[in-house]
Amino acid sequence: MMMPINTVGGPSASEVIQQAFCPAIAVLSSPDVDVVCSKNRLTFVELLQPFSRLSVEGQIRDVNQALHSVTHFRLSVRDISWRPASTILARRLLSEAVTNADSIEINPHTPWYDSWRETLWSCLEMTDHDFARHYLATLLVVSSSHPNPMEQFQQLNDQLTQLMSSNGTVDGPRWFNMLSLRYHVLIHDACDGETSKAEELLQTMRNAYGSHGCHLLVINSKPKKGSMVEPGLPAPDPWLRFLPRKASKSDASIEGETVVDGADAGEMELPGKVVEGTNSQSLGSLPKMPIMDALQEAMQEININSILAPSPSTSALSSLTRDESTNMKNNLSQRSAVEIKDDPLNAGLGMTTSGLSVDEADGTGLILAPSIVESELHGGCLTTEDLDRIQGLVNDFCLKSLLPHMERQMRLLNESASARKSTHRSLLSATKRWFGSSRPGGLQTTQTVAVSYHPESVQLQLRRLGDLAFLLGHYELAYHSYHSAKKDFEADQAWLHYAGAMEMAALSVFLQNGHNRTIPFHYFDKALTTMPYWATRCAVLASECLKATNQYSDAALQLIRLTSEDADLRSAVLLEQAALCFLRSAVKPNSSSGDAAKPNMVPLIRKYAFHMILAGHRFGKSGQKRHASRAYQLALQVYKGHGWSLAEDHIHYTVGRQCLNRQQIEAACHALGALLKPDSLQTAAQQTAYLNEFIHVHQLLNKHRENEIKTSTSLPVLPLPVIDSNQIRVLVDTKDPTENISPPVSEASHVTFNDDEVHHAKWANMEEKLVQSAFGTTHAMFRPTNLLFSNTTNNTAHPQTYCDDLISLELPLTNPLRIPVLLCDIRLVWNFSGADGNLSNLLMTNNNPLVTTYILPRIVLNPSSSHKVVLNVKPKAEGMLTIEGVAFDLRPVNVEPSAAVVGLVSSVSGRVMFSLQGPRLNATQQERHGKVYASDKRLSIQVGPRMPKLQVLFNSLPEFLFSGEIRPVVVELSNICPSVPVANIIIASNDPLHLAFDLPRIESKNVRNDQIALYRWDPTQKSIKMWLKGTENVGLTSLDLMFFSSNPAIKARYRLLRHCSKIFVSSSLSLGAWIQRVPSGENRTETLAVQLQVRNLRDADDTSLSGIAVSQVALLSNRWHLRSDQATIPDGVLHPQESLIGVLLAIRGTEKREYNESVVLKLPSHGRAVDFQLDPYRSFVKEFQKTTPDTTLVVCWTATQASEDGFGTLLIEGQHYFGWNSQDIASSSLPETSLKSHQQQLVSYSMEYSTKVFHDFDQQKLCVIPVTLYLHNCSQQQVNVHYSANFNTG
Amino acid sequence: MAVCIGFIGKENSPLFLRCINPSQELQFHYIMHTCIDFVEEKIIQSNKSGSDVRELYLGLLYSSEEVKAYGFVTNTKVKIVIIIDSTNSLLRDNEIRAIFRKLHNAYTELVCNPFYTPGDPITAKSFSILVDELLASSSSSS
Repeated sequence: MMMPINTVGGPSASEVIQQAFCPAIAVLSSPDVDVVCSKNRLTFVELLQPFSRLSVEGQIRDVNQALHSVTHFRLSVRDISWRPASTILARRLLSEAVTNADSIEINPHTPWYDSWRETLWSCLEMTDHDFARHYLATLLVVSSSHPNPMEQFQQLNDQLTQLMSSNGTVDGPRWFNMLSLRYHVLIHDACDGETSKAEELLQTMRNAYGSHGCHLLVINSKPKKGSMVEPGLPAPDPWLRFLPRKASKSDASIEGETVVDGADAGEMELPGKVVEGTNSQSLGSLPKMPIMDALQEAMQEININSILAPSPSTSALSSLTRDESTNMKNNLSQRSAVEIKDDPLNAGLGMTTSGLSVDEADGTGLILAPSIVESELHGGCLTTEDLDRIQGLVNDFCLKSLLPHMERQMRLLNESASARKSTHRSLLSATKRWFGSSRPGGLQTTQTVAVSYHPESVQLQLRRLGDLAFLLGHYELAYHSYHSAKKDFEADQAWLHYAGAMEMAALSVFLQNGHNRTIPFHYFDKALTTMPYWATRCAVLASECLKATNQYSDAALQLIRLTSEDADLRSAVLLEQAALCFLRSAVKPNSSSGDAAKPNMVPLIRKYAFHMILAGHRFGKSGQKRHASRAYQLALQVYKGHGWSLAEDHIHYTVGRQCLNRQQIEAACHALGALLKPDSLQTAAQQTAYLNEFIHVHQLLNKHRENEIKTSTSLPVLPLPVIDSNQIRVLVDTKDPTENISPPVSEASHVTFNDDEVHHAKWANMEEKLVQSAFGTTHAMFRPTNLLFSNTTNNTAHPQTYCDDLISLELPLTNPLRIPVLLCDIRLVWNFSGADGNLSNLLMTNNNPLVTTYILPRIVLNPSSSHKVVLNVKPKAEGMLTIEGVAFDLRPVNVEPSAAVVGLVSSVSGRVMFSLQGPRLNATQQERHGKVYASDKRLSIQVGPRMPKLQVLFNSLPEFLFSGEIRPVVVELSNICPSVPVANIIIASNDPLHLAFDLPRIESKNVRNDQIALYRWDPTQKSIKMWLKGTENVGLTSLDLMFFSSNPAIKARYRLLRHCSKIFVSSSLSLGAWIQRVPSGENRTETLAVQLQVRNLRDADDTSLSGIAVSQVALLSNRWHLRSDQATIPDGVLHPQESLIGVLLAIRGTEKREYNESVVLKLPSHGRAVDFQLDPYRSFVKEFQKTTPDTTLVVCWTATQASEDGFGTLLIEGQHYFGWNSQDIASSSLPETSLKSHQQQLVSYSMEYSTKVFHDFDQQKLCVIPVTLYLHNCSQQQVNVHYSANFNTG
Repeated sequence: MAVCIGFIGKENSPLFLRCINPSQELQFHYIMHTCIDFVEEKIIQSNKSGSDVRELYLGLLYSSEEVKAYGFVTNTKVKIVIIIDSTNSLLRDNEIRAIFRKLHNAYTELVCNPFYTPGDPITAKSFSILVDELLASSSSSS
């Protein structure tokens, strides 16, 4: 259906009103006329329809003889058997009008509203309170090919008289009054019969019916040439826009009939009887139906006389009320200039010809062209002259007959009205006024008793006068007539008439080009409350008037008042218009002052949205799904993104459901997907429903797409679960999880996601050392290898990995909903571009030759929680592996197990894609000003050539050690990538004090005092021993190892394997020593007394370590010997919290001996002695002496450890070291030694005297006891010694 | 009786909405949203008068067959809307003012909380208890 799509919007308010009211002309034709017209595939009425506008200006003299010009005069030509559509049919027609409108898309001009409105007009029936729609005149049409045309005319005249005699009493056509104009048209087929004969006939007719009442119409000047499209005829077809409607209507009417017959027979008893008689056009024999009954029974605005279900042939709906500008445009673009000057509308709109042709080109022409090809051309036998003649007929009829007739009628009515007004009204209305209630409105429902007027009564004459004047555009007179009629009707309590008159009066004022006069809008209000059946028309007209005067909110109110429960479509259309009114209400009129555009008025966009929702709801209920979706989408624009999430959810859900109903599954998926957004406020139950719906829709979608090739891109992107891409961590060179290792043996830990110290500097340090020793030198800008990539690492370079290495991704999956969600078959989606340029992605095959994807079978995401999931892929070829997302099957959790067995589990396969953005850069000024982000390449992994891969196994690596305990561990190394040779295996450890390998140590060339020790592994060796020694400090210590290996074939590439394990060291013994010089006896050699204290630090009730016994004490020094004969060390077991104190004597050796020769004091009860020349003891001692002084006291101990299961025992051995500097002899770990001053340590002394002296004091008073003082200077310097004696007696 | 109390933020996003009957929440969301139109209209009108000191209480925003909506705008453009059953005529204007004052105080206290970011949806327990009490008291008083 074509509607004028002009740039100024829809038709203006006055046009709308004029469309609703135009003079109705009946056509009574003989059957042969249709034969003539059918050559053009048209009926006579259809033939006239495009030309029913008076193309010239007419003039009449009004009652006061003043000249009044008639413009925009248009006829509504209908067949005499035309009936308004039945209730059901009307509903269908209205619905179609809305559906068929071209552009359902968002269009501010709402063309469907225009077409709905026009259909509404055409569905209204004629009633006897509204004469404007009654037939003003009748066209009697006979063909010249009729054997006796004059007789036929006479017959038609008789038929007409018969029909008119029943005017107003039956439900047939109604005439304005009994003096209806008759106009005789003789139609002549130019190709079939002689024109002269027709001319003769015309003369006869003129004689019979007067010269102004006859017309000869010559058509079909062009012979019919089959169904060929004549090139002479212009392409755009003026009839086209009227005819599709007819076609669909005829279908609909048939359906409508069946519905009437079948379903609604109960309510409308008549259809059964009437339908049979309809086609015979026996209008006279129609069943009687009193008007008031009809009014009461009618359900809607459609009167019940419309149950005369029209047959296809007779039911050509009048479409003349339609705006004809499109038609005119068509004519314009193709044909003569006649139309241009004749077309008042175009002139009025101020359009230029060129503008129109452009309009035509992009709009009309395009849409028309295909339909012409489809259907045969109408008017195939008509030439341009014929068309002009048809227009001539209309013009002739209007100017010569109709207008003078109307003028005459108007004058007559005016006279009779004014003549009888004075007498009649003064009497009648006076009595009414005194005795009757004069209050209108409100009470009509009880008072709707039939106030029936005689057709010629003065009140109706007044109303007729008003209608005539209105049709002629003489609104001044119309208003006065309506106004006085209104008073009469009110007095008579004829409320229907009263309301009609008020409505028309208000319209008259509006059309009286007068905005200078206040429009009585209250008339509309009263009319609305008074006549509910006609309310729709009244409200629509009233709202148009209000809109034209910018009173948009009032217009909206008018429209909203008309919405009701029973009429969904009407409510929907009106609500939508109301919503648009709210949107336009930005310009609010100030009724007192003229400024229409108050700048600070805001459009009521939220009211607009709300009413759009209401309209969408009603559209949905009335079956207009497309409109419903559109309305909801429009409203969504307002609601979206402002946090009104419940409202948004409602809209999304409704749109989703509607799209589903319309089989637009993709759109439904989209809408329902929006429901599963993170910040949903819905309850868990509601979310379950949403999720099920979502999954259901996706299953439909999958079924829909079954035939398409499955690639990773074909999987739908799901809104669940939420993945924060920036939190993804990538781990390359992961351990293979498939290895089967039993508990006593453990594998090197390597790097894991749980490792907090992955990027610790110690690893970088170790790596640098390793590289340095392996390749000789390191680059100045050495960058350590990174294996774990996260949002805190520098991701500007691609992660490097090698073929057959596992890549792990840790994804934080968040379930924002309040219900648990089950994910099955989770796997990574990737894109691999090989080194040789071949591409691959996941779904091509499951066993991809290039990349192996590991599938995680299932994971349950708990409500509102986040889970970390690790997924793996393993590239098998060189190239670039880009991980794009994750694919999975999404299911609700609460699926019953029985359903799972049957296979009814509803699940949807989908994916979530990753998107990464590096950190924002802030280095340069440019970066500071703009928003520049670093690239993040952690998901694009460079796969290099195959590299040897070490596997390191530790046999019973301890987790607990006692302080000082020495524990051997067997380390096995193997290359699990056997196709590639391995070379250059170097081990780095960061704590040589407590760890020793049975391997040659690589001494680093530079003398940086590092803690890192390197050992070279001979690849032929399968396993070696490693010793661990418990640290002195109790607590957790970490064991860090790094294994370096490289491929001899590939330069500068190497692989690192890390091991990091924690060892808990618990207390065992403490070793303290107190060293003092002692007098050395006769030979005066320097002698040290070493008092050592060994204390068992275990708790008394602790049973894990028992039987600690000191097995050996050794002094490792190049200066001192232990005197094994002088040592006193108690033997036996040290129980918890016991201390052992032993004393040793050491004497200075005479000559300096080789470094680190040890003197071992072996305790007699223990058989085995530790040889400190052997590993690991040598290595540990050596390390110890690197940091501490040259003399080391070693205490070796043994103990029995209860094994972990509690039954067996384990013999363990350990060593404690105590070192001192020879400069610092008296130093001791015992606390009291700290009191000694430094000075005393420089000199040692001894005295020699006899302890017993026998002296007789009687002989000699003085007793001299010789005391020899030996002073020994311990230092190399000269020392001055003063001594003073101090005697104590007693 | 008051059936619904709502807080709408500066950028017209809902901060808090509490109604007596939770099944009607969607309806009140729509009504609340529509109220913003009237609030804005009223603010513009009052701004035109030019005085700096603005009356915070906006009075009746609109009434429909079922409900009446009253509005209040704080100086920081936070809108408070009370929706009242239309059948109730007992609640007088000054009583509604009193409720608004209490709500405003409650909101002020909430904003004083350093852990609340203005503009976020309100989840504070004490606040919602207070609003619930007001709803209950205003509905029982009539």
